[in-house]
Amino acid sequence: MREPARRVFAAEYNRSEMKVKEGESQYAPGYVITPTGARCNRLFVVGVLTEVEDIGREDSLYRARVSDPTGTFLVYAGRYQPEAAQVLSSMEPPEFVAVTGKADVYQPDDGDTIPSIRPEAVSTVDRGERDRWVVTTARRTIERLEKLDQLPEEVEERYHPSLNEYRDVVREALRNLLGEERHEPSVEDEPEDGEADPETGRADGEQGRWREEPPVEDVEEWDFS
Amino acid sequence: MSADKKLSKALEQVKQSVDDFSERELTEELRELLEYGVPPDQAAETVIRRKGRSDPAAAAGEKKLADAVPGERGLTVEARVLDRRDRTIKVKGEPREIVSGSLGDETGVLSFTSWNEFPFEEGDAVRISNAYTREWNDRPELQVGDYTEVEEIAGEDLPPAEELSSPRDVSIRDASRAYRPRVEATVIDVLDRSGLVMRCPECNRVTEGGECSEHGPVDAEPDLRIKAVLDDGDSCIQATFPREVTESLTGVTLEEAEEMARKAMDRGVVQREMERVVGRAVVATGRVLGDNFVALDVEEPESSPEDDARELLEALQ
Repeated sequence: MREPARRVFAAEYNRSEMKVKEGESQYAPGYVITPTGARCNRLFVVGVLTEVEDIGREDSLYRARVSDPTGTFLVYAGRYQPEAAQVLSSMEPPEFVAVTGKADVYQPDDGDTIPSIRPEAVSTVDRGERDRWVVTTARRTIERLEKLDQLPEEVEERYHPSLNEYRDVVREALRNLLGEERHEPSVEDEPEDGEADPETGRADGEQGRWREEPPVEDVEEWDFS
Repeated sequence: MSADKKLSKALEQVKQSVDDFSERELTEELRELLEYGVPPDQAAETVIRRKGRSDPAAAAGEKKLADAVPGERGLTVEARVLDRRDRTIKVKGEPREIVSGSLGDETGVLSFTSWNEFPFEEGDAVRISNAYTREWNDRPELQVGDYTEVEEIAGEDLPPAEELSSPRDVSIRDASRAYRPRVEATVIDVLDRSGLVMRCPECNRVTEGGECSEHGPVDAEPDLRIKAVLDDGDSCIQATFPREVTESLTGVTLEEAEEMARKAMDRGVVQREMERVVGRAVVATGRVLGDNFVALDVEEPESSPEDDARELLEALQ
């Protein structure tokens, strides 16, 4: 059976630090377990490609950054992903892209964990498809939040996910889609400014609201075998 | 030993170990094994083992189609014939006429195979008694055997055929349970052997290097298709988009695709053009055959993402 592609926002995916394998064999599927319990062998993400860089030494290794309204996915395409590498290398950011790929978590020596995606298929899409992805991903996330009290014990212990925190992630993504993120009252801000302007709010807000991506260093050392 | 003697010997042996079964049913199963040349004592053991496994008291009785499971016997259903096709298969080298198709009721759909005459047409309501089921592609399939009775009924309790065979909105997970499933999903991958393919004019199979695996070298005809993966984040299914669907989804006609390939002297350019549909959200109506979703119609989702987002946000407040 083919593994379905999970829908997870970057803010959640980038906090993943568990990888489990089903079975002992070399070919047993691996899963990245996210804080709300998504079992990701495969992921499907749509966002804005903001950067593509060849960071390889001898062979090419493309690192792409794909931003959704909550954070940035790191996508690595090397010699085992030749088609995706070719498509990525020919793209000119910023562009809306769809990426289907294998979920992976890299653990450098310092104990950090860096979730990433090894792409199987990459394609340019339009804003409408990006918006639909945000809606579907919001739905799937809400479904997981509804079952948060049924998380397996080891997942609960590792992450102690907060319902409110991930509800906020979903809200943030949906407001961004609607171009409302400027008017979101924050704790320090004045409560409401009341002057919604969805026409202009959107494009600027998108860039401004992206979070810092996780620190990545020494990625040249990655072993993709 | 004559055939009759073998049969009665095996039957005696079975009857010592198995009761609660009609002699007719046991005889049928034994006769089939003996016709294949299985020795009588082994045939008897086989039937005893079979009967021992299934609970003899648990003849399935009357069920709705959605409740049928593989491995049932004594099953009775009332349903409409949604489609039927006659086929000739080879049994022990001998051609045999069989009928296969789909049955529908208000709960779902069930494939069937009839090993005997099946004088009913699409839309007919039938009562099928004493049928059995097998497993086929992870789904139950109803078998109309020698001891199954099929009679036409008025079918006042069954929805009309047009309703049963009209598209039904389902998740990918349940697509194989609907006769005409309509799923909302995303094309997350386009598989190899998409784009321009050549087909055998005899059997429609895709040819390799001008050769059909069945008919040898043929004057193959070009066709355009996409083999894709549809995924909704919960489940996925392989899908085939035939030419018309591929043309409307990509905006590339078969003629244009041939021109692209000619110019580039490479059919691969068409494959890469097809790969551009990765990421597209679609509402696909089709039919599940085996583990493949054959798309008959593909449209854009009607709902607007903004409206959906507002609705979700409100529910979250």
